[in-house]
Amino acid sequence: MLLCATFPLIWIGGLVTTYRAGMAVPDWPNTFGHNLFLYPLESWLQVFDVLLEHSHRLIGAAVGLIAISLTIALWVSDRRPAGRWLGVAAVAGVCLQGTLGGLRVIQDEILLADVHGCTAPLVFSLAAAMVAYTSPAWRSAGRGVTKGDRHLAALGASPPGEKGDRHLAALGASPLLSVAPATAVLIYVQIVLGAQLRHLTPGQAAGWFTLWMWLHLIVLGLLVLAVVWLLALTRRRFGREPMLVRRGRLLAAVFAVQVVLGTATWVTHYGWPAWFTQSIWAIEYTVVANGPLQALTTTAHVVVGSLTLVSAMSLSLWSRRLVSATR
Amino acid sequence: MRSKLTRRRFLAGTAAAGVTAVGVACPAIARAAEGQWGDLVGRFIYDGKAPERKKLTVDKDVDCCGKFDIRDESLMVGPDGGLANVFVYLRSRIAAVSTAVEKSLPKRVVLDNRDCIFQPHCMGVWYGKQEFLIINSDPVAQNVDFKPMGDTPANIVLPAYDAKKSPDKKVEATWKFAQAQFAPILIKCNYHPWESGYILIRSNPYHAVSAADGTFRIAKLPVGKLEFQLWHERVTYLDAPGWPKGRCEIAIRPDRNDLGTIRLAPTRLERKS
Amino acid sequence: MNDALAPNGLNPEPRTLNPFPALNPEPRTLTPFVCLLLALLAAGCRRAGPQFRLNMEGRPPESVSQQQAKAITEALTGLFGTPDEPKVSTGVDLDLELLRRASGPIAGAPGGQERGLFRRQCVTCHGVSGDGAGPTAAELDPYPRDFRNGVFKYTSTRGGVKPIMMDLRRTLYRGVAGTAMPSFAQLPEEEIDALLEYVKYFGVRGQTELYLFQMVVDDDGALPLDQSQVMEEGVLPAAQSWFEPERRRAELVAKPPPRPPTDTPERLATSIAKGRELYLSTNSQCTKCHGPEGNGQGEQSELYDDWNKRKKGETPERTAELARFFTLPIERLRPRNLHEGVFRGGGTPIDLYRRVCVGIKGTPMPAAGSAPGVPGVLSDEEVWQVVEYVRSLGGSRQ
Repeated sequence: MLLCATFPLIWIGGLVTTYRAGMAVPDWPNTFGHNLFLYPLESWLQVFDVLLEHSHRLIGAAVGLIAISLTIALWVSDRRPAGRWLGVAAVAGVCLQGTLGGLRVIQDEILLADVHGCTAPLVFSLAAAMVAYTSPAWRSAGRGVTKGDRHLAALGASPPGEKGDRHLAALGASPLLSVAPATAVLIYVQIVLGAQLRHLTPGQAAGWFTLWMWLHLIVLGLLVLAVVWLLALTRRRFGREPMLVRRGRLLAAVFAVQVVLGTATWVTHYGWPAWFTQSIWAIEYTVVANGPLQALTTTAHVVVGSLTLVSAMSLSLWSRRLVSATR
Repeated sequence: MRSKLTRRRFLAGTAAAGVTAVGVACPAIARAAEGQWGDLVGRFIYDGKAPERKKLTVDKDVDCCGKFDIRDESLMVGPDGGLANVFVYLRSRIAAVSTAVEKSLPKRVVLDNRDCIFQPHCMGVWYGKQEFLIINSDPVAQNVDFKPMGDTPANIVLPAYDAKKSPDKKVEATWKFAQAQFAPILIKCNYHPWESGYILIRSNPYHAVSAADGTFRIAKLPVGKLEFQLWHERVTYLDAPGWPKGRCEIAIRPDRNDLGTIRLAPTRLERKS
Repeated sequence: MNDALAPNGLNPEPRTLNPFPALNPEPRTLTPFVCLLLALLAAGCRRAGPQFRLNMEGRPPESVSQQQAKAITEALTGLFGTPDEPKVSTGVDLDLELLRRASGPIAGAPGGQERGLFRRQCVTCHGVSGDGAGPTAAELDPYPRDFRNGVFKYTSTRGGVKPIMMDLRRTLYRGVAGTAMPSFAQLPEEEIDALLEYVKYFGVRGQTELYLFQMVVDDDGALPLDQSQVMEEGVLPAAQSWFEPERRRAELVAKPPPRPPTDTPERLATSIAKGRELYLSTNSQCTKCHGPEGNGQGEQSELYDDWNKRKKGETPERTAELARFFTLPIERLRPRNLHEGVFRGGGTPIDLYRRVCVGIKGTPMPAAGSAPGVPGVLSDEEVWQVVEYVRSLGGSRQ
């Protein structure tokens, strides 16, 4: 539930930056002097910028409450120490985000908006990790029985535990264990680079944008290789382990969507590049500032970025989990 | 540029003799009102062997322009060493002008597109009083492009001159300047990149361009101490002996003021860029 | 030119693309970590807003002494204020209210955005100083417009004068097809008014700045500056030049006459044929750049607009040397391939009429129509015929 609540929060946060509505409400934690929860509805809905910014704060508050209740539930019901501390970490993460957001407004500082945007995917990932951690499959994997084993057992093959050990032992030695987390880290780097492209300060020298852009493209190249490799690995080597196969496919799919969105983001902001229109195809396209296409593709690119991170992270966690299960 | 000399003269006058026979604003005008004007003449000599003028690339409208021997005009030295195309002009903003000069001034300053170059290469104009007339004497369309600072930029197209159809009807364009410029500005042709010229736009007639033999003459300057500027396209402000940064304050006396021969070593005219 | 005066660095903000300005530290580009720490620790401290950069395009940094730079900057600040607090001097007809809305940091109010319109919509490309060198500028082809010399490409004014406000408004509404300039049709009218006023402000300020540089640096003028001279010769002519086309509308604004009828195929064909003849004629010189086929492959292959022309040296080595004096690298101009049917200033017949008639200011494309004192190459009807021909090449899209 935390994950589902955090998702729209990231959407709206993205929209706030896309429409540059970050300073629409100059005070914090109040809204134009009113208490956060008591701001009159008509005023809130009247101005688009205020609608975005204020909603962002409200949903943030809601996410905070959910996080707190989740942590309490974990402390009460779950006996695993890791689970409890994950909950605490989630609450801490949400609090940090809230503080960063507030400081951004008070200081009128784009750098803080940048940081706020970079820590958001981390909190989102934390929520996703909690989903994985608290799932029944996680626990049963801990007991050495995986879905793959049950599948084999259903086929009438050897009893669970035996063959399972063999193919999971292969997992232990596989590059999957290192590539998947590396990919997740690389995706996070990509997100941070993307954030630098979005949060530009007015007086910045032109060279910085060029640097971030090239890095973003280089990491894209590396990620294409990594994701394709992961897809191949999970399908061929661990084809019998549906948990991994599914996650591998999910990662590839989300990544493909992200690449398309990335291209669309560039084009809706800066038009088709000159080298394209001059040598390949002269498209007549006029960028529409704050247009729906521009705003949606850009924000979707941001959000799907977090989803890609979560997919990669999920793949890493599960591959590690299944390995540790054999030991 | 407001002349500093008015203040200096005022102080000098009161300090020296305590006599103020001059108006408060401009002693030069008061003096000139008495009918005292002086000419400034001089001659520039290039003190060295003139390098051969480089042949310019004529790659457009070759059938018309290819037949001319078009060479670089940035350093024009006469057979006896006279350096042409040096601008000499009064730096001061305000100065009296004798009615005689005003009357005798040509109504127009003409830039002719002829033989695929700008003729003359350098010219000066008194904006507001003289008209800048641009004509095309060539059988090809010409373009005249110049951008005076703070004033309207020009990019004028002149259709070809058809000597057969209408021999006495040359295409003309007139241009009005609204402001004086600190220094001469470049005139270019977008159709024929080798073409170039320079025009100086001032708010008085006290400017001259040295002729082919290096001589120049600025007629009927108001008597008094005036600051002059030398300018040449190769180096812009032309450093000369006694003229640091091309500037010199000269006491203009009635009738003739001869600066004599100003010898310029080749290093003074070496292109900076 | 001048003897090199004290070769001091004059402006703390880096002019080059160097992303690691170790020698010219820019306040906002320290490593993120340090920034985060500083930002978090500096709760409650406000940093000074961004400042206008001096227009050093084409000038070696060492050619301007610190004293001269200071004098120019102070004069400009006194006359025009700062990016956060604009000023309007007497005699300059700019609306301060609109300027305030456009300038300053982005600030919201219960009723909508109060300030910072320019920073919200325009600054990432056009830069804080309106110099067309904002953060994203280096990646764009063509570069964003440098407002500081008051030259705009898609206008309807003859004789090289400033554009009328309607021209700029049109550009804002429609954007520039095929470039990164967006259409701002989504913005409310008051916001567009404010942005236009701010663009004019950049023009007046920029022109004054160029005058000051000429006076102080090129001409080695005396310091302290004569303020009345600066007003009389710098500021007022700059401000008045923006109102000249509105004042003399009849002679300076090209109002396209009604398009000759092309209702029947014969009429259209005749018009196109005549247009083609004019296009190919030596007087109009269209083929020089656009080529006899109209595909942009004319004789003149190396073309540059005014903002990039100065970056080109006689030799490639010289061009490389000159790059040091400019913010962005040199960018070539490509004569339009008329077959593409993509026209940046708009592809409607009236747009094309304007382009041919008054030319594209700041580029080698001249005005074929007449102007005060200039007879022009094509008559009104002839311009229409050329327009018909051009449209026939691109396949009539609009």
